[in-house]
Order: sequence, then C-alpha cells, then structure tokens
Amino acid sequence: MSIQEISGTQEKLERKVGGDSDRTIKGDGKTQSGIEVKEVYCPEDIAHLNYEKDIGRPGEFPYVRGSYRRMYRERLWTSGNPLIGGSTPYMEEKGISSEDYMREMIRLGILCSAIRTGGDYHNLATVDPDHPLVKYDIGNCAGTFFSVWQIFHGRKKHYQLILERSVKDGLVFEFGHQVGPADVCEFSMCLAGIEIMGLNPKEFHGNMVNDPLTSHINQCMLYKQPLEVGFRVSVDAQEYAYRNIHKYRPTNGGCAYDLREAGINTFQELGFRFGNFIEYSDELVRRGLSFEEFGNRPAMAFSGEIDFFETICKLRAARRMWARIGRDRYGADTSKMKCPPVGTNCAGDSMTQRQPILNVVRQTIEAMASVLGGVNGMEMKAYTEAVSPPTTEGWIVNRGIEKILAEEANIPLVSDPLGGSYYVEWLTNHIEEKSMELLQKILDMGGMRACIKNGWIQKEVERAAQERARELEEGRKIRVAENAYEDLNDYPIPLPGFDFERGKQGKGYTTKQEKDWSEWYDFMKSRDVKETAPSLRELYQVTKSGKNVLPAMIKAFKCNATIGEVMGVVREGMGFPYDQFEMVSRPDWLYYD
Amino acid sequence: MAEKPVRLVLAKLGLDDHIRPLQVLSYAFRDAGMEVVYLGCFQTPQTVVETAAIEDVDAIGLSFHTLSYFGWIDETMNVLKEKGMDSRVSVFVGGTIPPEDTSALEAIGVRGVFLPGVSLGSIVDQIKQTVSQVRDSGGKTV
Repeated sequence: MSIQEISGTQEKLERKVGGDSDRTIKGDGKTQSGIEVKEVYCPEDIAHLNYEKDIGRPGEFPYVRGSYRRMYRERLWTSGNPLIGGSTPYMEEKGISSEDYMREMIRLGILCSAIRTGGDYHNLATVDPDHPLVKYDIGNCAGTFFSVWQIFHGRKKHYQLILERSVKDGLVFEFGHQVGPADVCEFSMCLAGIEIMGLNPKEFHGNMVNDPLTSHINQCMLYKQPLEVGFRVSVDAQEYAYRNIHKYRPTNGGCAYDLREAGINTFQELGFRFGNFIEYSDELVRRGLSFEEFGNRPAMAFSGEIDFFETICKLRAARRMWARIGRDRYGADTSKMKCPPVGTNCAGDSMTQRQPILNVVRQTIEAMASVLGGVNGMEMKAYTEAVSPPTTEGWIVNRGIEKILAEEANIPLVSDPLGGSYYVEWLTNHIEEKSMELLQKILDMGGMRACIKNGWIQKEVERAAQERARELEEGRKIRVAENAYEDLNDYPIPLPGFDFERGKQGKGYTTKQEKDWSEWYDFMKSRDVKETAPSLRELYQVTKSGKNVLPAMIKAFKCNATIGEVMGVVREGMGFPYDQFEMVSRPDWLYYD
Repeated sequence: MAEKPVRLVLAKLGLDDHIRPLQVLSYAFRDAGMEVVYLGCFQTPQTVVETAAIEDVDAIGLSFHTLSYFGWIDETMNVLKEKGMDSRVSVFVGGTIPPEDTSALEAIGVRGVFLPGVSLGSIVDQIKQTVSQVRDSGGKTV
C-alpha cells in the first residue's frame, strides 16, 4: 500500500470519527493559506501561552487584542471612503462633476471622516498625459492630476474644498496610489496647494500608501522607475512628514495587501509587510529619527480576505508582530509605545464577475472578519470590483453593510470578542510564528531591498500567483458560481453598475477623455515656462546633493511644474534617464546650469 | 514529423500594469508545450508587432485590465495589416472586457477573446486549434 493510500484511509477514518462520514467537501479542506487545521481545539493547544505576556488587554502591549484601550466604545472604524478619482470616469460619463459627486457623498454620509483618491495611470507612472504610453488610458483610472494649476484653474477645483476641510476640520485625505513617487507627488502638490491658499501645511491631515518596495514587485518595477529613485523619494517624504507635519501618516509601512491580491498567503503578507516596514524604519533611524517618533505613524493595512478565521487571526498577529519588532529591534519602551491603527482593504480578488450579488455576501464576511480582528479603518470593495471602481450604488450597499454590522448585529459592543477562543489564539500564534520565520529569512538575506534586487521576492510572488490560479483551476479552492456550483449562474441577477457600457470607448475617446485632453492643452497654453524652469533647476541640484527633495519638489509644483517634469528632473538628478521608458526627452526650455 | 510548437508573443500595451494574468498564462502556455516570447508591460503596437516579426511567431496575446483595450487593439491590428502579417499572425485578447464587445473585436480581426472565468486549459486549446487552422490554410484568414 502506498503512503498516499494509507494517509487517504486515515483521512477517511478521521472523518468517520467526526460522525459525518457521508459529507464530502469540495476543495482541499485547508485554510486559504494551506494551514491544516484539526477538528477541534482544546486548552492544551494554547497551554504555552501566557495571558499577561502574550495576550493582555486591548490597547496594552503586545496589542494582540486591539490598538486602543476602549476600541469601538471610543470610536468605530473609519469607513470605506469613496475613491473620488476612481469613480470619476463613470460619474463624468453621466455628466456629474467630481465636486458634485463629492458633495452628494457627504450628504449620504458615505464620505464622513475620510476621502480617498486614486491615481490615473500617468500619475502612477509619474509621466505627463502626453506620454506615448498614456494615449487611450488617459483618465480611465481616475481624474488626471498633472499640476497644481488644475486645483485653481482646471477640473480639480474640488481639491480646494478637500484641502481646506483637511487642514481646518481634520478630514483625513488619503492617496491610495501605493506607487511611492506617485503618492509623494500628490502629497507635494497638495502641500503646494495649501500654501497657495494661505493655509497652514503643518495642520494637514491624511495618509498615503507610499510603498515603492511593494510597487516594485507588483506594479512592474514601479512603472520602470529605478528602485533607488522610488525609495529615496519615498523616504524623503516620510522624513519630511515626521519632522514637520505631525498629523500626517506618510506611509502605511508596507502595502502587502496589493501582493496578497496577486496570490501570496497570509504568512507572506505579514512577512513582506514587516520586511518593508523594517527597511523604511532602518533608513529613518539612520537619518536620526527614533522609533518613538515614527513607529506608530504608519497605519497598518492588510487584506480582509474571504477566509474568515485566517483574517481575524492575521490582524491580531500583526499587532503583536509590530509590538515585538518595536521592542526587540528598535529598543522601544513598551510602556510608552502606542500601537498604530490597523486597517483592511477587503479582498478585491475574491470578487467575481459572475453573479455579482454574491459579492455582497463576500463583502459582508470580509468586513465582519475585519471587525472581529479589531480594525480601525476599512475600505470595502464594492460588488462591482471585478469590472470597475465602485459606483454610488456600490458605496450605498457598503455603508449599509457596515451599519448593519455595527448597529443591528451589535458586533462592536465588546472588544476582541473572540479573544480566548482555543482556535483563535492557536491560529493567531501559528500565523505569527510562521510569518516571523519568513521575516527572519528575509532579514538574513539582507532585507527586503536586497531580496527585491536579486528577484527572490518577485519569484515568490509569481509562484504564489501560479499556485492561486492552479488551485482554482483544479478545484482545490472554491469560488461559488465561478469554479463550483455554476448552475447558480442560470438566472443572472442584474445589478446596477454592471450595465453601463464600458465598451463605448470604441476607437476614439470618451467625453471625459476629451475633457482630459483639452484640460492638458489649456494648461500647456497658459503656462509660462520661464517661471517654472528655475524651480526645476533647483530641484535638480538638491537631488544631486543628496538632500531631502521634498521642499524643492513643493516649490517646483508651486511654480506649475508638471508631475512628469518634477520626477523627470529627480530621475536625472540621480543619474537615470529623464523618462524611465526612454520614449520622451527633457523639454527644450529646461536645461541645467 | 511532429508539428512545430505554437510560438507566441505575450504583452500588455500602454501603462496598464496588471501583469499577473499574463505571468500566469506564460507559465500555462509553456507547460502546454508552447514557445512564449514574454514582452510584459509598457509596450506599444509597434514594439509588439516588431517583436512578432523578428521572432517569427504564430500569435500575439494581449491582456487588458482597463477601458483602453479597443484603441490599443485597433491600432495593433492596423500595424499588423500594414506589415502584411495579419493573415499569418493571429491576435488573441483577454481581460475584463464586457462580453458584448467580443463581436466588435472579432470584427476587426481578433481571433479569440477570453473573458474572466475562462479556464487556462480552454485558452490553450483554442489557441492551438486556431493556430493549426491558420497554418493549414497557409496563413490565409480563418
């Protein structure tokens, strides 16, 4: 008898012992990350844990039970925020301007404490709209944002309202681009706008993902941006904010959510996230900042996955990892520590294009797991995720789900209600152990940057993506109505947002894209480059000198430089081509002394 | 004599960086005995068609995750025609494309549109079948 046959028999026997010998399950019966779990967990599974040392209370070291002492009694999680930029293509096609849309979102209570923008492709790549690779992609991801001029004379006038509210009433303004330089450019443009409006930039509230390490893996090498450029610009912005803008979170310290979307598992999500966090933190420490000054500023962002218990336990493990890394690597005083907030992005990759109403259920499960894991912020994906950014209907459903969880289901009444469950504590511990092992492996190889430069991380992610596709293909993992129970598609349930004609673009440009182009040409006509050039020359010199580029970047944006020019000059200042794709050259009027 | 393996270029046009599907496909095609010329992201119709000519491929596979697919594909088909390669080289497209656009893409000469939810196996089968038909007909339009 072969080993497989023997173990197969044992598996069958175990099932029989479970008293359910007739039930066959689809899929491989393991958790999403392949953890083999027992039928039931008992006190002996967590006998090695010490309550005071390993668990404790919410808001106390090691923070496994929550970042804050009174958790949801004090404040509910920050709600998913409309991706204003992301929704605009859809809205503008309907003739609704970004500003009107935003006001409507405020009225509906969907936009109450935070607002999030997404970047258009040219923003993410930090090139200008007239770059030959942009073409049909202009304005398809979000509103184009190439210059501060747009805030005052173009189609970004709603930014005046956002910036004012952010400075005066603490509205959290988020940039969700992830690609370091893209986030940093928008950050600089907003600071330039704030200064032009005569407001106090030190009062700017908000956060950005700003994680070029993840982008290098995920966004095709930062849109071909050299990693050194991305890292330098990113850490310059972090340092600038830690020293000058104390209400701002200038990075989330590692956006493993995006890698999770590619197919990595829970251990990799935590391992890579903290690998990035350590990479940034080490550099900041080298620049003379202490962990106490910045350690709790990056809000931790993870993926709210469909695997319910894995998600809950991952969030609990993440906080404990942060606390132990702060104590053991940076020597932080545990009595003075403040755990940063933890947030989830609900998993976009769990959403299907088929029978989208089921995505509403998936959303609910992911949001519930996030709340039980103690999140302080959550961005839900709308049921339209598989085909488009959220529509208004999508946001309304999301807000409804969150309110039902909070006020009908009464989940947030008690902090960490699953704490102390044999299974939850065992799984939290298991996830932390395995993730720490991986993190140690990365550190032994020289840290995240070294592992990215030699391609090890990329290979791991590629392998994971393969595996993810194969397990769905082979039915080892289940997606209802997609690779199992497909008869549920026999009666398609139509939902709004799946009906707009995305194919309308045809050979030309949409109405919105025509507007994007004309805005760009208006700007080019109205700008006097004689006023712009000196600030770009200064930025070039600052970049070459190795000093922090942020002040010079902000100044260049104030002088109406474009995103492509600013990053082009930084690239050249660091010894790289002006255009990372090497398709356009520096403008004639721009020369260096 | 065994039939020559199918040879194809895989690329994404413009700035759309959603690279995973293309990576997953490249391994699936390789495992199915095809020869993959992997161009990856940030290509233009010119670079893709030039590569197809130099590498003497049977097919071009383009993957999209944005609204911009129609413009890019249309341009690619025109460059192929200009170079007189359109009958010999089949173009396949995949991504988040609304099902109702399939016929419009086929009308401009695309020989296979793969939508979300399609299995890797059936993509492989359809490409192999189409390529072998094109070869049998001596590179005339299928």
